[in-house]
Amino acid sequence: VKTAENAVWMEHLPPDKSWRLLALASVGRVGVVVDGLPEIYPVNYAVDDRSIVFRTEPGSKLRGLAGHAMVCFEADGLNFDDHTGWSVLARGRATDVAGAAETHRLEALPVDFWWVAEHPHWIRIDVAEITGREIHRTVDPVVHHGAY
Amino acid sequence: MTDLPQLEDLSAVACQRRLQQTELGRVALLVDGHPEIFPVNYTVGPDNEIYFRTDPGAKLGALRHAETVAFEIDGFDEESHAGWSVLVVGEAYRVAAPDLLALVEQSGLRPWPAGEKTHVVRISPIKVTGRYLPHAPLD
Repeated sequence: VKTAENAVWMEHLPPDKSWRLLALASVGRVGVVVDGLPEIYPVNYAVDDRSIVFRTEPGSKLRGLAGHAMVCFEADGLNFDDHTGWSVLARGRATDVAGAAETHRLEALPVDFWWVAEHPHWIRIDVAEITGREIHRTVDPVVHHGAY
Repeated sequence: MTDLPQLEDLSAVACQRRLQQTELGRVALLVDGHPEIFPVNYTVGPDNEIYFRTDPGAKLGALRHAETVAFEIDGFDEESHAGWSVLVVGEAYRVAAPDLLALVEQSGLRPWPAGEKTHVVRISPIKVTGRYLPHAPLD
């Protein structure tokens, strides 16, 4: 039995666990390359099968995302009290969601924030690779007695 | 018809204030030509430069030359759906000066994720922009 006091360690997460964690959050960040330089944009997203979908508004820099070769997507759930938590990084190609039926189906997903456009445009990231990390902490039960 | 909220720009002063009030940001850099994003705890220096700690083995910990990166912070309110983000484009490079490391430690900067974050990376901002979306209208 490991009895290390306040031990902190990092676990590399398999894809299944990474996807489950991604489904827990609602705001993530898309990383794109514009003129050879990285940029980051927060989006309200949902997991749809093994892809990530989000909406963009007219005039958004993300509108032209499907023209980018490869994008990345990051989401995390961090606990500031004890510095535990997780982060997931996915990489893949972005495509425009086409077709009224598919768009209608996506509208039922829990993507409610930053509702700017009346006729939003949906973008899907087809994930080719996903990695996750989770920070665990073993808390000394004596030192932290009563903290929970 | 209800007026939908529109994205507004944050002023330079508002961007700086939010950078100083936030602890967690995300860094994007290119790895083999493709973007990757990492969450980091950071602190802001007197010249609005951004410091964070990283592992010697991590991509940023191994920086030998200045590299242009993006740094982003954001916040949103689940109730009102208001949200904001600040994007910094800057030059990142490793700083090794022991006194600087002490300064960063004094600031209370606690690295996330935990680990041997012995290296300090500095981002000198080139361009700072921010956006704000007011809360959604109440029907």
